[in-house]
Amino acid sequence: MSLVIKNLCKAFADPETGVQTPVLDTISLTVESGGFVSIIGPSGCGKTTLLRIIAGLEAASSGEILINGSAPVEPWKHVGFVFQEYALFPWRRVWENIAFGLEMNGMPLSERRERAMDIIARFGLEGSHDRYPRELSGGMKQRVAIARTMITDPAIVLLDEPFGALDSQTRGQMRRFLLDVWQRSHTTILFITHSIDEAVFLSQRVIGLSRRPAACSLELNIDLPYPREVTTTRFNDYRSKIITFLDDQKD
Amino acid sequence: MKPKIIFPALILLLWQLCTLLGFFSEGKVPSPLQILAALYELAIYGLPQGNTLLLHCLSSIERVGIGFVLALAAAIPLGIICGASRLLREMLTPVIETIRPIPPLAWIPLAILWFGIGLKSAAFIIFLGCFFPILLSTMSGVVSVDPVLVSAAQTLGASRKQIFLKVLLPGSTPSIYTGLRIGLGIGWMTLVAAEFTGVKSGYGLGYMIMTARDIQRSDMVIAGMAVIGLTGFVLDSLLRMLESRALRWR
Amino acid sequence: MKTKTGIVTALCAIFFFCSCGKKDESILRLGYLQSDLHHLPAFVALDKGFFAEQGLTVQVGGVFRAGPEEMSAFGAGELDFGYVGQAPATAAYFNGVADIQFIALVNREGSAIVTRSDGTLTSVKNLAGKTVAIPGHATMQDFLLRRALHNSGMNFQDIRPIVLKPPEMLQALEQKNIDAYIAWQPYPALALTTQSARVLMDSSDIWNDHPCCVLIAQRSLCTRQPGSIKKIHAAHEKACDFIAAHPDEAIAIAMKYTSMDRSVLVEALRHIKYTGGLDKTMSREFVDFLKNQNYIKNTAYTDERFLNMFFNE
Repeated sequence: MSLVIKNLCKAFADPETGVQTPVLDTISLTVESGGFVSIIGPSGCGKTTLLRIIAGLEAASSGEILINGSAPVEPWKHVGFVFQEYALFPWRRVWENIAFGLEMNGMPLSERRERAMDIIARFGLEGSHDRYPRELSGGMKQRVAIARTMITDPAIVLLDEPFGALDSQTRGQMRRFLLDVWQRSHTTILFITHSIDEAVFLSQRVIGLSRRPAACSLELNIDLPYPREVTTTRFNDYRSKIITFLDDQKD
Repeated sequence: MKPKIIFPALILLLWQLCTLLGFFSEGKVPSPLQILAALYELAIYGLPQGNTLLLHCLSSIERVGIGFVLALAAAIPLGIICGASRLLREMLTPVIETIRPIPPLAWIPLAILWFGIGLKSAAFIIFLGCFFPILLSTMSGVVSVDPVLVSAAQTLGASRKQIFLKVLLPGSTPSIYTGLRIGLGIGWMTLVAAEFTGVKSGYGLGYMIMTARDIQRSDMVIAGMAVIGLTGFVLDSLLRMLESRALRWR
Repeated sequence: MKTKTGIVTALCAIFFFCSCGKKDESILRLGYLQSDLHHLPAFVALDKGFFAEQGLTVQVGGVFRAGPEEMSAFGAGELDFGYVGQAPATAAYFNGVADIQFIALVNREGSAIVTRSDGTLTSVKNLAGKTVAIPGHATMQDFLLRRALHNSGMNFQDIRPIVLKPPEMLQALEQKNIDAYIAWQPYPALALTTQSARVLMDSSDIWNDHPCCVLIAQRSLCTRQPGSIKKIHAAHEKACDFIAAHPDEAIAIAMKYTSMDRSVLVEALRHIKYTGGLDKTMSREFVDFLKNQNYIKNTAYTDERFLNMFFNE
């Protein structure tokens, strides 16, 4: 399903003084159905807030969010979220974490366990189904988190710097993993990252947000076939353009 | 031999020696052997006669058990609700903080007035001892649940009730268990005070100590104290075993 | 290292336990029970200066809420002589807590079994299956209750005993938590004034002339100052005579020391006999009771010698 954001604004009000601090300034962007768009921008510019509003965890001050043309009453039905901190429930085993969304929806135990074991196999997590999150490496944890999100077949998946806490080798593996998941499921993805390489490697389009209050200041189509070679000149060109944009934001 | 066995054994030996040499008068400072003999008497003959140590012990465990279970049944749900709602927390905290410092002993006259003499008033006193630590630990446990877990649950479609039961409750169990252990400890210590409300059944470790004291048998008093200490330790160990099983995921 | 620390700690503990209090030999410290009407001779002797008359300097060393507490004070060496219940004194002596001697009786009788006035209990036989409160195990009242049951052909096992402090007994009776209680005066008299209770049986009908409270002193005092003991005994007897001869003044003194109403005290005093002297036979009976119930340990001494050491004659 497509995701359309129109003129989204968000301001935080100080609870004591009532002073409004604008965070998002008239954001408009579109992600076509099945598309992969990355958002990049300086730290603290409001990228996470944007994602949280789309997911329904926070309310916008003004503007519209349309999923497949209409504003959803229950965003969580269509939108999945992958957090940077994994947000796995530490007291639940791997398969129980993955089956959480199905459980909330009332699916019976045997069915949801079956579904969980299925996605565990597909995501290369065999043997870990009965482990607790504290026993897993960072990369495995994030795979579990992604599995937990994907198992409910969300139309749109939001990822908030999901690989930020991983070492570079694992990051590389996880990028290829995510690419594979996306290509198989054809889900719509909105992806926040700090890594320029990651943005160019993964996405069809890169959107740059300015400093607070954030506005869409850059929109770059990445016209490269998948899988992308990080060492090519064209890859580098895109990378440079984004670096320039980010440098501008620093002033 | 491990130091933790050698040290107490040495103290006991020294103590027995001092009594033999006459440093202590037997009536005032009974020797370890006398205390052991008193323990035997309490176990086989009982005090008062026929009321054996085991029955006293079980009766006390029953009283504390009832008070403790009632306390956790009341404190955990209340703690979760208050932990989740800032408004409720702000409303109830002054009331809680005013009642909490009142020692359970001070409630005895009211307890007798409301519940009469017997199991109910004793369980009430113990309930008061257990309730507040469990309530406060549950509240702080809920407050300290990582908010990102609540967000994750919301994005996965959890309703408010499901968030309470499937995120806040399991997330605060480490804190709850700490509260349970503290609560049980305080409840067990309140036992002797609770049995001052009058023991209708004639059984109870506190009651046994009181009787031993009335007849000036300090060896039985100390034996009773040792049993109280040991039983409290065993109960706490049981709780700790339960805790480590439940918190395997840590 | 740990062993050394252990020995040092143990030595400190020994010094602590062995520390003796210093006191002025000429001042005699007296103990008695708070608001206990049975100890009226003590109040009278203090108030009228009978001890001073004998040339004794007497100070109140402690006022206690219960006999066992007073006996602990004797054990700790904080009292020289005192008025206390026969039961705790006997238990303390035979269990090695306090080395005291029984100088004289203080009173005979003065207890009663009390029940609700609207209740159905008319005689001791009716107590079968009922809950009866006693002030404590191994008290004189415990013994009296057993005797009363025995006299009616019953067993102690036929009733359900519960231990309460006498001030709590009346309320427990009124709230129907118990069916009857046995306590010393003035608690029965107090119950009568409330109209909600009545006396089922007076202790004079259970065991005529039974001893209740006694005058005791540290054995060390008896051996070192036998003259002082004689004087204490004399002051006590004078106080007993005074109570008999001047009841009104005695009641006034009683009111001062017990804070009870005049009417209650008048009623209570009707049932108490104040006296001096010793009663070895009845005391022996009580010792036997404590031994049978295992309240007294078996001691290394033969019974006779220990028993005789108990009495100061």
